[in-house]
Amino acid sequence: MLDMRKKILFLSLLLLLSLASGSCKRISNKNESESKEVILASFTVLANIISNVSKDEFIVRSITKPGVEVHGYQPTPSDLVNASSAFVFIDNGFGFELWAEKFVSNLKVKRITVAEDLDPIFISEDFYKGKPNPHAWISPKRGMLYVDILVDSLSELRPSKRTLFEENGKIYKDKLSKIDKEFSLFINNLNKDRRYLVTCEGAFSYLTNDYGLEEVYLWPVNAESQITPKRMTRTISLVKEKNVPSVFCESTVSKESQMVVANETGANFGGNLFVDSLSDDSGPAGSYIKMLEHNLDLIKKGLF
Amino acid sequence: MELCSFLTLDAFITDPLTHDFMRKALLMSSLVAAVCGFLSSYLTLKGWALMGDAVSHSVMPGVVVAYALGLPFSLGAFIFGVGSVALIGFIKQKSRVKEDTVIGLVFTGFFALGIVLVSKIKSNIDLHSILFGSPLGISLSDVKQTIFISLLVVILLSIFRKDLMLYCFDPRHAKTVGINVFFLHYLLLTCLSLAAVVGLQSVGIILVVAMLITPGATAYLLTDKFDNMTVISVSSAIISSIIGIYVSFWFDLETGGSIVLAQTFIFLFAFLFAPRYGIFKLKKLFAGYKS
Amino acid sequence: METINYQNFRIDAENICVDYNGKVALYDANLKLKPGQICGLVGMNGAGKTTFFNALTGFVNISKGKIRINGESVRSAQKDQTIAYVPQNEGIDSQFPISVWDVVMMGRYGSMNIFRCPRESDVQAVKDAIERVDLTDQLSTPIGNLSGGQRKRTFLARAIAQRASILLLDEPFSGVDIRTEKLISELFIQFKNEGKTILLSTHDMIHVREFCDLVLLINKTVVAYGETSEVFTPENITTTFGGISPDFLFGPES
Repeated sequence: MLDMRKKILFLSLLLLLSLASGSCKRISNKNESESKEVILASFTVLANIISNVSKDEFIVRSITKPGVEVHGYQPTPSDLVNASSAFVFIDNGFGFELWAEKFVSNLKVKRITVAEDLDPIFISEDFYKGKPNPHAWISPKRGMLYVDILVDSLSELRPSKRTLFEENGKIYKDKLSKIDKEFSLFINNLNKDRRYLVTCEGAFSYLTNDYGLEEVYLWPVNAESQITPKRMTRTISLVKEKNVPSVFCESTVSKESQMVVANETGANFGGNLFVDSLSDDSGPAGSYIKMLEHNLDLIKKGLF
Repeated sequence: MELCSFLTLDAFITDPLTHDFMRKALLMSSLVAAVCGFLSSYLTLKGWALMGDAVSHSVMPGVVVAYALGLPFSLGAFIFGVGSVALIGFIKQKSRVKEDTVIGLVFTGFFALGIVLVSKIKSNIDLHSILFGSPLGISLSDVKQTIFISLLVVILLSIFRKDLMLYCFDPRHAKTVGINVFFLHYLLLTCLSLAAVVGLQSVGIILVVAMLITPGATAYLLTDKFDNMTVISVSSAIISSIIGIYVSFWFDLETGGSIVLAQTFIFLFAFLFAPRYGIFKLKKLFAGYKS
Repeated sequence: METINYQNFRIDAENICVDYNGKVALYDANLKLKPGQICGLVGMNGAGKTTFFNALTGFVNISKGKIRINGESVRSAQKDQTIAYVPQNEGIDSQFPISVWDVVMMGRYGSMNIFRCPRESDVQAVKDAIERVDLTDQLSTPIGNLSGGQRKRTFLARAIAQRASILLLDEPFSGVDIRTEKLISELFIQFKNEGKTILLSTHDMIHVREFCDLVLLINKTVVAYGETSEVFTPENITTTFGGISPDFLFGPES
């Protein structure tokens, strides 16, 4: 009996130790390749854009992981550890990273907020009415502005590499510009009464605004899935009335309500659009470019 | 004027019903409310409000794990719900820590595990939809699950209605006359887990606690007969669902919250005006008025 | 040999021990009671009276020893409805929404089908029991509206309806009115004549002297056991109550 207990105690200690050593290893792994300076981005999309501008000049990391909802994220201790050794912290702004204020105030790290140089579109409804909609990168046109801002910012950080950053930025913007042109063309060829983008969260304001689509959503940005019957009814009747062929949902929120809209109106469920986070490398939105392509492809297929 | 209000009243009632999702929400919430209300009268009498709180919070990691493994999330929720109950029983029995402390300890632990898992498991789980749920976005498979589980709970509770009453009232007597108290204990807890699972889908983890507590408390103030208490509990729960859904439709409010608020208002009404146990004792008021 | 021996006793508890998580509540307790005997169970609060009851009803498991009820195990005694337990007034939730009739009907649950649907015979048994405790005019009264004495009589009626041959009564005389006290003592005489065995716990020495043939003094274990006249001495009582004199405990009335 006693032996048994000892064995169990021993085994559980062993388990605990192996867990602890495993997690230690991960942290030390991260610290090994610290010869270059680290830029810490608040989320994966931004990190990807930055790394396309900086290329090998910096190591770029994201605090939030692929696939997560960024808005309500709670930083972990290892985030703080990573951040304290970072060269600069870059966030989106427009109130996207609610946690960033507290996070940065604890650290003596330089902070760049992209949105300070962007023109906002405001949220039109609810508690957050009048606050800027943060999801500016969702439009390729604005994505190009992000690149410009980042080229400037990085150049200020490292003036000697200005030409390199400008070159990288130009190559990257060309790719974005291609996506932009294709989508513009698609919209121009799309029948006017088909230009409706129905999503769960009002995250696509910049896209719809820049390309002349009508935006419809179940709940406004930041309303945290709180649907009311009125919004539901409004969406359903609009989809019915305008004969909208497909409805969509953002990948980080529950799509059940949008499925109900689809079922009720006979519209297609067009798929999950990525907004807040990239997917894993294996997923459909491994990079910012892929994410835009994925989203715009789905929208094209859905609305055509 | 009178005619006008009649017309609007008619529209008031029928308008929301023209939408399929509203009909579904009405049906599902009423069903869930009825099941929780049925159970609620037992929980109130047994003094298990905290247990209801505990179980509904403990299902959280189960939901996350089930999502991650691609299982029906009611299964994960159920396993963790029953698991928490078993763990509470075990710790209570094997240590000197008092029951309410053990309950608080276990369910917060489970809940925290759920939150940690959400942040660790890479999947598109929306924490908010677990915590708050919405009766407006219930999928067809959820509808089937809800109906199946609800029926199961109602049947179990109906069969053992009287035994459970005896168990709540005087477990010692139950044991003395050879009734399996152990079985009844876990039956009630199993039903509680199942009710938490169905409530989870329509109002979410946090508000399902209210559905498990409020209707029973309301009924307790209104009657001195057990059978009546169950009937009042179930009907007040159903009425609250209907009121809550209509109010949320007409005043553009979040639906789960509206349902629970309706329950709370019905309780407050009973608290103030219940014939025998209310603060103003309606009966006496009427008697005073007549004389 | 043994089985013959058991049959003479309604209750035969031999060296029983009960512990809760290693904390001993009762040890080496013995009790043998025959049909028609009334035994008083006397001890301080926490001396193990309730534990003794719980062990006999099977509500707690004994860790050592042996209990035979009518020569059989506690479990089969439960199945046969042999033992009825009458709780003290504090031991029940008086706010429970339940009527006198329903409480008494609970005495019949053990012999009903799984849905607990009362048969004609059950209804008759409940009616008779309620009549014997003189509560016929309170049939549908919620127990919350009863007086302490009426509530006590309700639970006695439940024991009667159960048709148990052994009655365990926890403080049957505490908090009851004179009328109830008189009725209970009359019932005790009837029970005795019917051959029922009664074990009752009490704080009141007068009641012990008045009703009990035997007395069991306990303080975690048996201090003394035997005929009331022989065992219920001031010395034994003082030992049972940890050195405090009985006069102090029971006041001048004793």
